[in-house]
Amino acid sequence: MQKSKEAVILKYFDMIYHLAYARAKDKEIADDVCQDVFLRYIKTDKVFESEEHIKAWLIKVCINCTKSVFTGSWFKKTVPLSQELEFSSPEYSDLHEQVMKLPKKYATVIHLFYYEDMSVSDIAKLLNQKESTVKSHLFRGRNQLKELLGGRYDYEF
Amino acid sequence: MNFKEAYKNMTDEIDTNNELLASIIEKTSEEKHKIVIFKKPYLAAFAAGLAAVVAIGFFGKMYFGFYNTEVKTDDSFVAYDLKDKNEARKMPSAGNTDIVSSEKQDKDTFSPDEVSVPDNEVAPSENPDSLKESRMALPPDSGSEQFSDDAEYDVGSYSLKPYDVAMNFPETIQDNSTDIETDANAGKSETTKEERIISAGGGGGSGAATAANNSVSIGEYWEYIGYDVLSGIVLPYDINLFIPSSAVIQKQDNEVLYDTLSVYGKSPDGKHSVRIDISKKASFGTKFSIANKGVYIGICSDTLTDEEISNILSSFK
Repeated sequence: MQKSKEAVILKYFDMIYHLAYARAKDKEIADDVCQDVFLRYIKTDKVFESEEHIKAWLIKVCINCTKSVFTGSWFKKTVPLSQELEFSSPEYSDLHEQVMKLPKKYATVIHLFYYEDMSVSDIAKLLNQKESTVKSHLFRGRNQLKELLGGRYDYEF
Repeated sequence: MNFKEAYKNMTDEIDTNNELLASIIEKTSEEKHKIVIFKKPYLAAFAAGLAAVVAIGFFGKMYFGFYNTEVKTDDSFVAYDLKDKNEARKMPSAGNTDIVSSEKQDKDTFSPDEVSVPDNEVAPSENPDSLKESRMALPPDSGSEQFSDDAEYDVGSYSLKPYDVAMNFPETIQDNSTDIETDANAGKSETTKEERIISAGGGGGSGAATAANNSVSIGEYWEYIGYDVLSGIVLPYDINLFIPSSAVIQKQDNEVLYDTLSVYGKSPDGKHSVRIDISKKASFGTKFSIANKGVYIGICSDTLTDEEISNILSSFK
C-alpha cells in the first residue's frame, strides 16, 4: 500500500506529537522527536502493507526516538524550563498538571490506552513488553492518577 | 466524568507546532525534487556514453576498414628474386601481407581471387592443390605479326601446381614462357657477354618487357640441362617440388659461362622446405652438393637435418 507521504504526515503528525509530548513532557523535545520521526519516514524505502502498519511503525519510531533523547547526555545534564500551557478550562489544566507528574512508563501506557484506543496486547507489542507488564503499568498509573485527582474521574469505559 | 473523554479533550487542546509541520512537508517535497534531480544527470550521462560508444564503433569501422578483404590461406606464396641469383625470400604464412607491403606491392593485386606476382616472381601456395589458374595474358610470339618490341606485355600472374618430380613441365607453363628473341636483339648480342633470364611467365609491367627481350623458356633450359635430373629424387615429409620459375644463364659468344636453376619444395604442412640448385657449368662447392649425369646439384634447407639432406643427395645417384 502506497500513500502519499505528505498525506500520512498530515494525518499522523498530531498523534506523534502528542505521544512525544506525553513521554517527554516538554514541547521542545516533542518538536525534536516529531521532526526526527517524520524525517525517518520521508527517507525510508520501507513498503507498508496497510494504514495500521504505517501507524504502528510511526509510534514505534517515536518511542525509540524519545528513548534516545532520554539516554542522551544532553537530556541528562539539562533541566527543562517550566512551561505553562493554556487550556479551555481549569479542569483540563489541572488534569494536564497531574498527568505530567506520572512517570513516563505509566504516562506512555495511559496515553496509548486512553488517547489512541489501543488494546493491551497491541501496546505490549509496540513496547516489546509482556501484556502483564503493560496491565501492571496501566493499573499503577491509574491508581496514581486517582490519588492525584481525588476520584473525580471514572476510569472504566 | 469519564477520564478517557477528559484526557482526549485535554490532549487535543495542546497545540501542535504548525511551523514544524510545514517545514516537514516542505522537506518532503524537497526529497521528491532531489530524486528527480539525482536521476536526470545519470540518465543523461548513460545516454551520452552509449551514443559515444556507438559513434566510435561506427566511425572506427569506417576509418580503419574493418571490412577489409580477408586473405585466404591459399594466398600465401614464395617469392623468387632473380637479382639475388634465385635466392628464396622468406615464405610468408597465410594471410601475412606484411612482407608483401614491404616489397611495395600493390594491395589491389591481393584480392582472394587473383594473385599477382611482380617482377618475375611466382607464388607457389602453401596448399598448392587448391590453387587455380586465375589470370593469364600472354605476349604474342616473337615471330608473329602482333608482336611489338615497344609493347609491354602483362604476362600476369598464374598459380602453380605442385610439380611431380617424375613429371615433365605442363604444357601450359611451357607455352606461357616468354621465349622472345628478336632479330634486332640477336644481332646486338652476338659479340657481347649475354645474360639470359629464363622466366616461367612470371612478372608484369616493365619487368616483363625486360624478360621478353632477353629470355629463353624454362622448357629450353630444361632441355639443355636434362629432364631426368630430378627423376629419382626421394624427398622426406612429402615435400612437393614446384615448377622452377626462373634461372640465369650467362653466355659469351654462344658459350655458356654460368647457369643455375633453382627448384623449390615445401611440405604440405609448411614446416619443411628445400631448395635444389641445378647447374651444368659450375659446382656449388657447398657441403651438400653432388655431380650426377654431368649436372651439379646442390641442396639448401633450414628445416631438414644434415642426415635428411644427405639422404636426398644419395637418391640422385
